[in-house]
Amino acid sequence: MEISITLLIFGIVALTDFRSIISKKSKRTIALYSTLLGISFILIMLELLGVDVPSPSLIVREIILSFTKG
Amino acid sequence: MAKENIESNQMISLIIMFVFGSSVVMGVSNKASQDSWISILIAIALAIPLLLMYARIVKLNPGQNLFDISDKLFGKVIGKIINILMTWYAVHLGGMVLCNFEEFVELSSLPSTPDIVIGGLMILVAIYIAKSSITTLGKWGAFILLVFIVNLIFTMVLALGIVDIKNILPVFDHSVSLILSGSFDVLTYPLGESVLFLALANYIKKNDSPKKIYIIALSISSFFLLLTFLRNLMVLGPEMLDSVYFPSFISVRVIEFGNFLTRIEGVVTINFVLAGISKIVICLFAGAKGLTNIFNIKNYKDMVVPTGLIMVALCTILYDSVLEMIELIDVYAIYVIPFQLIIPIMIWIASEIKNKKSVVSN
Repeated sequence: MEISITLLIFGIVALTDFRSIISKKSKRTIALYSTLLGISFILIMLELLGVDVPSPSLIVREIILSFTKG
Repeated sequence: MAKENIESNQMISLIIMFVFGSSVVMGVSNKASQDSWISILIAIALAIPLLLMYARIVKLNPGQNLFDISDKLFGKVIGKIINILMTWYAVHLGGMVLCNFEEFVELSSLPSTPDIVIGGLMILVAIYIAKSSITTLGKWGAFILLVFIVNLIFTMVLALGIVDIKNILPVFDHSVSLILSGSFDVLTYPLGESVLFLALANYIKKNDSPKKIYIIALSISSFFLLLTFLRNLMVLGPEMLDSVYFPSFISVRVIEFGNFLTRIEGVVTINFVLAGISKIVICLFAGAKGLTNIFNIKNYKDMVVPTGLIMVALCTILYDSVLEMIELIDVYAIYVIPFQLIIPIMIWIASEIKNKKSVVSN
């Protein structure tokens, strides 16, 4: 269910916003846009497929706690 | 193309909505239990110089936003590092607010709905507003604030029947250090988060006073923040307040007016949706503007959708449960020091030096 919804969201983005970016904008914009789109897609899919992706918030928490305890 | 601007009253509304963003449901730090209202008062006092510093930065660099200012003051390398850090903060904060919203909706009303649906719908609205224009955002802020305050006053008035003033006693039952620690928490969440408005500083009209904007926004938001906390404390009591994740929602849930007006917690949900969207839009704006600056892209609107999707992705990996979300609050005050204090101080000092030099040379 979640995977289909994710695919739907990214499909809509690819067909609408990304298509308009490709047709008009510079190579740099397209490269950055597709990179960010790719990163977000991979992160969401990994999480939905049950892969344990380290949480940035928990990493931040661990770092701060190690400093404050030290 | 005409330069987009925002009216000062719209900017004030946006800051107020931003401050309320998630605190309207999550509540503020409750470290000092029934003495937390003192912590909030101290936090408000501490926020005045902080917000005046932000206002001074805007005043010294008219027509520029945070990212332009740091580029101009610190050069390409240090300026870019600062911009990367502030962009990360904006995107991370947006992801956290989105996460708060997802957890709240899941726990309060839609337990079986996948998070991605709630987050996706929320970010869709935020993207639409951010892609429209700053004028749209300003008008949204001004209108929504009215609805928000009417809702807030409505619940306050109805709560008067069930408040127990004894819940506030004994006063000063906790140590000064605990009260001060609580006030530091309130200062960083939510008051200091308004540092992100520096990313929108270029939209403030040159004739408008940033100091006035920040101080009026701080006064109104602090007043309602304090009032909301006192309502929650006096309705739920300190022990109950400690144990619930969404204090405003729970305290409004128990309100009954006669036998015909009950279960009005939907009003709090409306407020959370409105304030949450406003906060996410501001984070989205700041994040997209930061990316635009870092990668030298002309129009920030091209980066709004990918920034929004990154926020959704962050949100899916940030926390596995509400408990993890609450645990981060313990260290949040330390985590945000560089973004809310150190970087703005650096920018302020550099701006003052540059300003003095230009005055001398003139």
